[in-house]
Formats: sequence, structure tokens, C-alpha cells
Amino acid sequence: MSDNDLQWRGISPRYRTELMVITGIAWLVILAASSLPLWIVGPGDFVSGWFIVSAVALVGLGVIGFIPRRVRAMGYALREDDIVFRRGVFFQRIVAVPYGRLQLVDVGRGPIARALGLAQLSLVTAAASSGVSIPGLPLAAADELRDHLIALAETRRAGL
Amino acid sequence: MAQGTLRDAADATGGQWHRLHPLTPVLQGGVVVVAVATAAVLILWENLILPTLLVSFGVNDELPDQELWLFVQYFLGWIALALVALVVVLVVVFWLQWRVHVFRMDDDVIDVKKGLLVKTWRQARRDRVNTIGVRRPLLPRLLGLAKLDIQAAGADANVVLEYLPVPVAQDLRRIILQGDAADTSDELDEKPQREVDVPLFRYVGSLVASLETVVLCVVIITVTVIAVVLGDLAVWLAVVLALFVYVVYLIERTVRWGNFVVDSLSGDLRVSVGLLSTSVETIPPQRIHTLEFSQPWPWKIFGWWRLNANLASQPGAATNKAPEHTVIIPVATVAEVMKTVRLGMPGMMTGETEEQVHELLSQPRKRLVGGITSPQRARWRVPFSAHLTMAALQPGLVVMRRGILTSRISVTPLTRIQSASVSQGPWHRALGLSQVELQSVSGPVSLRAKALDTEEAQQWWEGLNVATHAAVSAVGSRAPRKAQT
Repeated sequence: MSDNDLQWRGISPRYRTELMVITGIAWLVILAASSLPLWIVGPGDFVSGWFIVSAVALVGLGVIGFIPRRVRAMGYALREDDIVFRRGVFFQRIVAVPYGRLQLVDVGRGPIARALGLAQLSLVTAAASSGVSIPGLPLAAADELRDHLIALAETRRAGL
Repeated sequence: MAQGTLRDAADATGGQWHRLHPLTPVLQGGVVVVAVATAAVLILWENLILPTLLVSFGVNDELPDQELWLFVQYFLGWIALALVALVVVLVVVFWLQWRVHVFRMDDDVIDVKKGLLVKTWRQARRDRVNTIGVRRPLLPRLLGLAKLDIQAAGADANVVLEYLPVPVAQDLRRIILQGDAADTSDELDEKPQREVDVPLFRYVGSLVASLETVVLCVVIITVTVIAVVLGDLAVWLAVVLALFVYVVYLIERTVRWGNFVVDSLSGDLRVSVGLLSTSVETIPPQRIHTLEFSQPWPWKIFGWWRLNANLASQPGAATNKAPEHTVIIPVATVAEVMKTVRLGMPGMMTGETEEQVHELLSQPRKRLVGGITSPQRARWRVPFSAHLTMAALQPGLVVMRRGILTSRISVTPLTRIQSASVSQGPWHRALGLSQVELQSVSGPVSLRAKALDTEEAQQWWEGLNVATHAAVSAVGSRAPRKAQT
């Protein structure tokens, strides 16, 4: 599905760290939940409980280990008339949003992203399902891209 | 402060406060009073009046309830006094309510103030008004009154004027919309023109000839066979129950959706719906982002189609229990569909495209020029609908088709497409397939074509992006004023 004519810009490698920390926290919670039978029954009496916990831990490690590949698959390209965003390894999606369709551009930052100096750029059109948000942009780049997109949207605005 | 009751819509524009129709509080709160009074009269009638009458006519010699009789006799004066007092209090409360329920309209805003104890003040900016619906519930309708539902852009930003005499409501609606109407057409021919009138018989027929009925019939036959085999007829009770629910469903649907009419009014579509309570909504063509013709399988025999639309901005639809007007026509013939498409997307279709869409409606497997369809191997991904899936780029618009149990054909002008995507899951990729999807404003219609050849889909998507941009920039120079969500 890759298109070689496009000048793809990648996501900052630091986004890997952000995604890993967030995913890691989520999987720790799941791991804690899966260990619940052990606490209730007692670790010594319930051997298969250990299997569950280790299976969960293994899947979690797999998911986290896969993150660099996922981040590599993300990218965006600014073309003359539209912005193209691609993502996904198993479930690939590539969206083109014409500049004239942008209603607003949102820069959002979670606590971990802030610590890493990253930001997420969300593009909003009149359609809720467009759903384009470009994560893992360095803050300065995100701000610059936002201003650039808004300026473009302004000149090519075509109403609804 | 108020200038008096609004009798003529032309008076409303001055920015002075006006009261609504005096029956408003009665219609809003009086229903409860009427219900209580009816219940009281019914109790008296059953226990006292009817037996007394029967005794006096000699039909029955059983005396009425003695205790109640004595009670009424003894306290008659007090009861009468209490009733009078209650009526007086109600009248005063209603009158006060009516006095404080006022609205005002000037060139910029529309305000509504109401409430005796809990006061509310709502304001809508006139330049943000999208749609105005004239709604006529059963009781006000009998009294010649209507509710004006003014919807502005933004969630829950609607202002409701209830109740006004019908002609005043209609005039007011026109006055508020005039700012917008003025720049679309100068010669306002105000006579609405009847375009489509769905006969009640056809609507009920369309309900009966539905997938639900087929399922119900299958269930009934199965249950019958089981009942006969087992020799136990008690199972049949479930069938009776199911049939009862089915009939209730038919009636409910018919009352809500019966009497469906589409008019055209100075370029706008006006949709009226409801057998007892009528609801009218005017839809300017620029709000229609995509149209979909859908045909549940049993409708093929009659050649009927349902017409749905994704409409830009319909805020507050849930707050005032207005029916969603995303249904443009619940059941239409091919001729009516084509007529409505011409009205809803004026000048967006070339004659050739129109002919092709027309043919698509009668020949469901036709492949359009410039359309891409699923390859043979797509049967492994979508076994039943592979031969139907199609995406076609036409001059100025996109035509898509999908679905086997319910055929769905959608028409989307390029100037309304928000974004376009190509996607692919593992199963798709193993077969070298991709899915194309267009994003439109939210609504019942989704625009996607599954299981297309990856290479073809990619090319089609690129072509679409170029065409969309060309169409958008051609329109961009004369961007409509009503560009909002």
C-alpha cells in the first residue's frame, strides 16, 4: 500500500517511548488484575494461576516489543492540495484530507508526551469519521504544522 | 414590558417582547389537569351517576354506593367551592405563566424568556440559524396552533416558540429564513410545490414487504412445524404474542411516518411527516451531503427505494423529540427517487450521470463507466456481495453500491466529501484487496466499498483526491455564506 512518489515524514522516534510507557502502564494494570486468583486462592495452591499471569505478561511484552514497528508505520505527507496520513501494520489505513476541509486543528499533549516534548496534532473536519490525529510530533514542529495547515485551510476554504 | 400577544408575524421583527398564544400554558401544563379531571369524573360516573341514572330509569334497583352518596350530599357545597377555587388558582397560574412567557426578535438575535419560579432565558443568533421546523402535535393541531423549532448551529442551541397560530408560525419562519433565502433566489415563489406524496397504502405495504416480515414468517412456520410434531399447541402462544407485537409495530410506524410529503419551496426541500402529529422540516440542498437509495430485498418486486441523507448539522434533534429528518422519503418509486435527487442536488449531476443512476436503480448489477468493482477473488472475503460492490467516479460526484440483503446505492457530490481513505486488514491483504471509504458528515449513510483490488483502489483513490480538489476549488471562489457545522 505504500506510495513511493510521496515525501513521507515519519513520527519522532521519541514517540516510541511515550507509547511504551502508556502501554506498559495499561499492561501492568491488566497483569495485576490477572493475578487476582492467586491472591484469593493463595499462590501455592493454584498453579495454573501462574500460567495465566505469565501468559498475560508474555502478550504484554509482545505488544510493547511491537511498538517500534507500529511507530515506523506511521507517517504523513503534505501534498499540494491535501495532507495524507498513514498508519497501521496489520490494519493499514491511509487517509487524504483536502486542506479546504479542515475545520480546526488541535494540538494536544498528555503528561508523558509533555515530559518528552511531544504533541499530537488532531485534524477536525465536518465528518467525525475522518479521525486523523498525528501523534509524536516535536512540540515546535506540531505548532508550526498547525499554523501552516490553518493558513492553507484559510486560503482554500470552500465552505461545506 | 411585553407589547402583547403576537397576532401578526410582521410585528415580531421590531425587537419588542411579544407573548405567545394564550392557550400555551394550557397545552403545556393543562394536559395533566385534564387527565386528573377526567379521572375524577370517571370515578364519579362509575360509582354514582350511572347507578343513580339506572335506578331512576328503573333498569336496575341496586342503589349507588351509599357512603360516597352521603359524602357527596353532605359536602356538596364545599366540593363545589374547592373546585371553583382550584379553577381560579389554575387560571391565575396559567395566566401568569402566559404573561412571563415572552419572546423577542431583532436583526441579530431571537430571545425566549419563560418561567414563573424557575426562569429561563434562551437566545439564538439569527445568523447561526440553520433550520426552522414547524411542528404540530395532535392537540395543538386541532386548535390550529403550531410549535416553531428554531435550530441554530451548535449542540443544544435551539429555541422553541410554542405555541403560535399556524399562519403566524409559517410567516415567522419565512421572515427568519429570509436573510438566507435572499441570496439563493430573488424571486421567492412562496407557493410550495408538491413533489412527492407517499400513499399510505404504499407505506404500509412497504412495512409488510420487509425483511422483518420474512423473518417473522420463517419463525411462525418453524414454530408451527414444531407444534404439530410435538402435538403441543401451547407453543403457539408465543406466535400470537409475536403477531401482536408486529401489529403494534406496524401501527406505531404508520402513525409516525404515514402521510409523508415532500414539497419544494424556493429551491429547498420541505419534508412533512406524521399521520396525527405533523412535523415539517425544510432542508436546503446545501445541507444534503450525501443521498443513499436503499432497497431491502423484498422491495425488489415492487421497485421501491428508501431515500436517506447525511445532513450537515442537526443539533438539538434529540432535545425536543423531533423525528430525525434524515429520511427523505421512506418508500419511493424510481421516478420519485430521481425527481428528489434532482431537487436535493440541483445542477450537480450531468444528464449522462443521471441516466446512469437511473439505470442503476432498475438494473442492480450494472457496472458504471469509470467504476471499479470487486475482482473474482473477493468472494473469499465478501462471499455474497462481491459482485455488487462498486465505486464509480462520475463528473462532480461519486456513486457507490454495496449490500446484498439491502442494496445500497449512494450518491455523494465531490464538493461535500470531507476526506477519503484506503484501508486494508490482514484478510484483505492476503487476497490483495483494499477497502475505499469516504468520510461524510454524520448520518445514517456510510460510504465504503470493501474488497476492491488494491492496485485499482489505490489508483481510484488518487483520482478521487485530484477530482475532489478540482471540484472544491471550482466552488471555493463563491463560498456560500452558510458555511458552518
